[in-house]
Amino acid sequence: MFDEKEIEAYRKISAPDGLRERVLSSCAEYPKARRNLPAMLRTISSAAACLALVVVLSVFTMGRFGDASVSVSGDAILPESSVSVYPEHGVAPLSAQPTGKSIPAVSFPIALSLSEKTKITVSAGEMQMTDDTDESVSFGSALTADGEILIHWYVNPNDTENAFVMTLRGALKSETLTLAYNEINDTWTISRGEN
Amino acid sequence: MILSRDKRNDLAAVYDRYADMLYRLALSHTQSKEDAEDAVQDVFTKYITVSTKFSDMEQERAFLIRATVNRCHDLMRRKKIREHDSLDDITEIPSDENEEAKDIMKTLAQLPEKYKTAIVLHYLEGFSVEEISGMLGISLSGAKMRLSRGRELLKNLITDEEKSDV
Repeated sequence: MFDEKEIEAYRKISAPDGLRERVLSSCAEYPKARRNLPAMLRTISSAAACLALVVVLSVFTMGRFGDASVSVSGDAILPESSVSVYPEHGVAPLSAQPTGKSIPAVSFPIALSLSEKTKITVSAGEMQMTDDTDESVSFGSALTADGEILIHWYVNPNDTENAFVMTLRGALKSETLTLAYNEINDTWTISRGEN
Repeated sequence: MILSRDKRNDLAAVYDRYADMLYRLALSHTQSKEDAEDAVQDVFTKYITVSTKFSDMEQERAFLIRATVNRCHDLMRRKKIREHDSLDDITEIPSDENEEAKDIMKTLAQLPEKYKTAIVLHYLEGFSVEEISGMLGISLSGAKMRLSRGRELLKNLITDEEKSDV
């Protein structure tokens, strides 16, 4: 694949000298100066774009009272349809594990716009609900929410024999999101259907 | 939050242990020195908020690698990938090795993201398939598949490059 000389050349690439001090300084003042200005602007513009998307989706679905709008990584999932999704790799938060030990997990950021108070449950894995400041506000396998929320759904990638199911149960309507892994294609899909 | 002297020393030690590897990994994804620096900085900022939760160095290393890859994906999504435009900014490579390392980066740039990470970690950083499986939170067969497909793509790319050089 790569010969010894190439590997050696690659490994000689090192982080710039100034980066060490930059990292230590920014971490020392965290969160006051956790990011440089361009990174912050990128975050703000990205958040604004997400908000705009949620508003557009909300307006689109206003005529369907009781319905929820669902999107994963910015891709809207319409009722009775499915989309391919790309997982974020990570370690499920410690509080997710009954054993107190963290496990490797993949997570899927699911943005929901709920027009009524809805009970959200998952057949496996854990959900971390965050507010617009990106702070975790709720955690577990069963949550209740309404309005616009973001849920990170953590699942164990080594337990993909059965599909994972998220149920959204409101007073007017009940829906499911089914998350499935296809090992042959190494892809994940989320399907949305009525319960 | 102000870091205590001990915490700062701990962070410095972790930085010294992993920064070069994380920077190379970020550079292979972003192809931009500036973005790679931003990614590494963001990863360490995130690290200090969770560092007490790691039970061993392996878990700590896995977190840092995953966080770097995720951060790079975020940056790439936002910038829609600035194709190769900053490769000349890679100035940290010693001049005698410079071109060779740049060639590797250019070749890696053409690989899809998920194969690139596995290829870099296995063939250039020397991690085993099992370690990669754990670091990326994927099954062992998934890691093997990524390496296999990545290797195949890489061979085609190298062959194409050799043909175009002739």
